[in-house]
This record gives sequence, structure tokens and C-alpha cells, in this order.
Amino acid sequence: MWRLFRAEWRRVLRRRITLFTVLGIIAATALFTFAMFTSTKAPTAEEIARSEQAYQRALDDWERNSAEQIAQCKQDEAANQQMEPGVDFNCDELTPTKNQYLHPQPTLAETQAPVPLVAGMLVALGAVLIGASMVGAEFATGSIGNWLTFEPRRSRVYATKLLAVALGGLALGAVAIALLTGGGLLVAQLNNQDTTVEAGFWAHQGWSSLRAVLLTAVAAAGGAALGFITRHTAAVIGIGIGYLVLVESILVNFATWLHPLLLTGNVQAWIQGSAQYRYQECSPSDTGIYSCESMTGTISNTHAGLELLAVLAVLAVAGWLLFRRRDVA
Amino acid sequence: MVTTDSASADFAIEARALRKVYRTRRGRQVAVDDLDLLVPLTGVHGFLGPNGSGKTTTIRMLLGLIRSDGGSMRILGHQVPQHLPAVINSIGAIVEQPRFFPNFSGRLNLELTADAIGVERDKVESVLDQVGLRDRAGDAFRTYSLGMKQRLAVAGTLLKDPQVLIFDEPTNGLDPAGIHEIRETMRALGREGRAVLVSSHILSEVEQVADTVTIIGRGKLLADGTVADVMGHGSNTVRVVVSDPRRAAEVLTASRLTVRPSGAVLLVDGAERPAVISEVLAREGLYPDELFPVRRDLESVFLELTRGSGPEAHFDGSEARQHPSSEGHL
Repeated sequence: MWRLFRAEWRRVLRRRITLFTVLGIIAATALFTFAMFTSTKAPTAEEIARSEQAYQRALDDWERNSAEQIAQCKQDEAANQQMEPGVDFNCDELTPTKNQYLHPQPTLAETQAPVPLVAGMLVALGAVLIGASMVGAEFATGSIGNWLTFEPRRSRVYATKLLAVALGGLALGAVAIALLTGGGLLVAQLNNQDTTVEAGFWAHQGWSSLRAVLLTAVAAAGGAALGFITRHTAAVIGIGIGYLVLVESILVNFATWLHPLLLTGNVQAWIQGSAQYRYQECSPSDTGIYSCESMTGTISNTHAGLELLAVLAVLAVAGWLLFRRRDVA
Repeated sequence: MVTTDSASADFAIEARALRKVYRTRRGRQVAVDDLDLLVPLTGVHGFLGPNGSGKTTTIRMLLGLIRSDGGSMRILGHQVPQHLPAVINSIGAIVEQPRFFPNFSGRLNLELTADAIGVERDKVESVLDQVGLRDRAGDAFRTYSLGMKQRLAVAGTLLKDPQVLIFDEPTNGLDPAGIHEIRETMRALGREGRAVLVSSHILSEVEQVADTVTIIGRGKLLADGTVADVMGHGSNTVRVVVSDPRRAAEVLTASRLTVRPSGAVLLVDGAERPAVISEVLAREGLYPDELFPVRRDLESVFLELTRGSGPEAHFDGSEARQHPSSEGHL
């Protein structure tokens, strides 16, 4: 089994799509780091002066017209409350503040917080593609048949392929997170960001990153399993796009119970620790008017972990059974 | 009972009552029907049949790539596909076109295979040398000519030093030099004491390289045995040209030979040697202008069999046997 795994691992490393995915991830992380660099620059004296002027103008205006603006706000709020009871326009908080005219420079903690999620999701997509194409290409070229003439134990072949791509996904995820974290630290130094972080921040980031890396491994193995099921890379891509369009964009609007089951939400919850989703609950009110209430739900980390594991298990078992049973042309 | 001792095997490959049915939209299609295939422990065995007769399906079943719907198969005494892992390192196979990873070099493809089967990478260079591919071993597999791909596939099979080699249509698409090379390789492997099963629809190929042969049509066994027996040695026709064919026919018939007039030419069957015909005619003062043994070739046998008109007499008393199912099926 080890020698078979070694051959598969070597193949993962030597494939062009692996190289292209690595280059793509490097380019994406470079782009993300550049975006961090431009968005975290300290404001110049000129920008500060300009925003001071704008703030003063807004304050002068507020002092002259505040009563009128508050009255108008409350009138609008009352009108909306007839349709949506309890709606709050925050009419008492209309006073201009400095932050509205000069955004403070983001801290290191603010720029680093989304890194595991961004890297995890980005690499997971690439990992699915690597896994699916590794298997799909073998069926497309017929080389799987040749491979089986050397190793006919299909369960071993299946397991080693899934393990090799999972390890590949894991490595890619780790590299992407390392690059983004390193890039973020460099940017913080270059832009003199506030690097003070709360206690436990880096531990939280570490756990989030670890979960993101595990996700990329699961995504790669899932992609490979889907490759075994469909035997075509294009079919796997089609299933992915079809799922996002049909389930996550259309179906979820009719079946709100799907919200906590959606993959994107669960991926987010898995990496960040939890995730919230919004949905509308609509029902006829006492007055007979059909009104909708905005609701918020939470996906826990455990829920997300179990769901993602279940999805992988279903795909892996289905792929294994089909590969064992079906003829290889 | 599963035999696990290859030394006790009577055949390199032994398939009995093999059956494969494909379920298509048009219904059930029987690809292999109650087929027996016996490949001796050494030498080249031809597996002959028209395109679509079930040769590749049979080979794929032997290698565990597709499931059989009936029958039993053994390779070197091991029941397959159940015990294929135990014997796979003794089998080298090329099924249809060689199919390696197209963007990898020939060398990398072989190295991956060597890794997978636990063979030292040094062996890769050795087999590349053996098939004359070392100079192009660094090039991508997809850039290879068909002949080079075949040679690489042969090199792949040699990594295992197999006792049984299975070549499915190995010369398809090759140029004459490539065909010659592959045939020489097969012959050499057979001479080395290995069992080589070569499937082909090219009759001359099987006739040239094979010691024994199995002929199938529409998935059924039509005939098998040594090539010489299947061709019907000892019952060759002799073509006789003589000045008085009518009288010559009477004389030869009187001597219990079978004569078939064909214009001014007589086709005579039943003579042990052409000289017998010469003697019989000379005794009556008839001297043949031409006496030419018409040797039956595999092609004629094959065509007779696949027309369902194979004369049973050609298989009587020899090791070759004609399967009853050949009659009237093709």
C-alpha cells in the first residue's frame, strides 16, 4: 500500500494541473496581499485635512437642520413600522462622527482575521479540481485500466488515490495560509499598522487555519471521489456549478430549512468557529397583511464538522462502491 | 477449489465456459458465449477472431477489468479475478492501445509503475534499453508514435519479468517496421519459455508468430489447437495441370484420390505426398505439366470457420478441435 501511495503522491506532484493550481494560489495570495497593502495604508496629512473639512461641513449642516432630519427620520420609521413592526431607523444616532469621513487604519488583527477563511475557501476550490481531474483524466485517457493491470486491488488503488490528493490539498492549504499570514505581517510592518492583538488571537487564528487546512484535504478527497463516481472532470465541475446555482441560489429561497445545510455556510462555520445565516419568515399578520420577519440562524462548528464529514463519507463510499463494481474500459 | 501453486498449473491461462453479456438500450448483447480458452505454459498462442468477436472482452475479463457473467478463469493455476493479486506480478498485459499518462515522459510513466509494483527504478533504464527507447525516454508519452507507445508498453510489462504476457491487437496502427519489431518481440518472449497470448484479427500475424491458436467468432469458440493442426496438415490439396485432365481424373479417382476438376486444372485431395499423384499418372502414361501443393493457410481455415462451413474432416484425428457452435453462426 505504501509503495502504491508513493507512486500516487509522486503523480500528484508531477501533474500540470497541480503546478497551475499552485501558481494560481500564489498569484491569488499575492493579489490579496497587495489589496491588504493598499487598504491598510495610513492616511496622508492631505487626506486627514480633507476629511476634517468634510466632517466640519457635515457638523455645521447637522447643527442647522438636525431637528428637521430627525423628524423626517421618525416619520419614515413610523410608516415602515406599519409594514414591519419593530423596525428601528436609529433616528437618535444621526449625528455625524469623524469615522464617517476618515476611516481609521485597520489593525493587524482586522486584516489577519479573514485569512483562514479566504485561504481555505480558495484552496478548497482548487483542491476539488485537482482531485477530480486526477481521477477524471485517468478514466479519459484509459490509463486507469493500465494501472489496474499492475495493481488489480481496486480498494487499494482507490484509497491511495484519495489519500494522495488529500495530502496534496492539505499541503496547498498550508502553503496558502502561510503565504497570506506572512504577507499580512509584512504589510503590517510596511504600513506601520497597529499590531496589538487580544490575548488568544493567534491561538484562535491557528485553530482556524488548522481547520481550513483540513478542509482543503477533505475537498481534494471529495473531488477525487466525485471523479470516481462521474469519471469525468467536466462532470464534477458541472455538479459543483449546478449545486451552487440550483441549491444555494434558487432552491434555498423556497426551502428555508436548507439554510443550515448549505455547504458554503458550513465551510464558513467550520473554519471560523460558527456562522450566521439570515432568512425571512413570512406569515399573515393580525391585520391580514402578509409580512416577513428577518431571522438569523447560527451554524455551530460541530454541526459544520459533522456535516462536512458526512458529505465526504457519502462521496467516498459511493465512489468506492462504484469503482469496485463497474467495468473499466 | 483454488489452486495456489502455479507449478501445478496445466495451462498458463485456462478459461472455461466464459460468458459476458452487455445490457444495452437495444437489449442484451452476448459478447462472449460459453468460451473455452486454453493457453499453454510456453510459446505464443494466437487468439484470432474478427473485430467485435469478443477477444478484448475476454482479455479484460481475465485481467479483472470487467466482470464475467459466467464461467471460470485461471491464470497459472490461480482462480481469477478472485486471486488476481497473487499472480499479477507474473502477468504482463497490453490491452488495446497502450495507455499511460500522456503528459508524463516515458521514463516517468515507467518509474511510477515501478514504484507501484515495488520494482527498483534501475530496472526502468534496463527495460528502456531492452525496447530501444532510452533516447526518447525523457519525452512526453503523448509525443510518441504508436510504435514507440507499444514499445513503452512492452517495457512496462517487462518490469515485472512476467511468465504470462497478454497482447491485445499489438500491431494495430503500426508501420511495417513496427509490426516486424513487435512480432519479433513476441516470438522471442515465447522462445524464452514464457506464455504469450496475442489477440489479433490479422490472420497472417497469428500464422507467423503463434504455435497454437484459438479462433472465435461472435464470442463463441470456433476452433483451437496447434496452428499446423488447425490448418489441417496432411490433407493438403495438390493442383495438377495435365494434357488430358478427363482421363487423369479417372485414373486418380480409381486410385482412391478425391478429384475436383477446375477448368483445365485438377484439384486433388487425399495424396500423402504430391509424388504419389505423379506415380499414379505416370503408370498410365500421363505426365503432369504442373504439380503444385496448395497449402491451406490459416486465412482459408478462418474464412471457412467464420462462414460456418468448416469441413470437420480437417480437424479429425488431430489435436485441433472444431467447436460445434461454429456451424452456421457467422
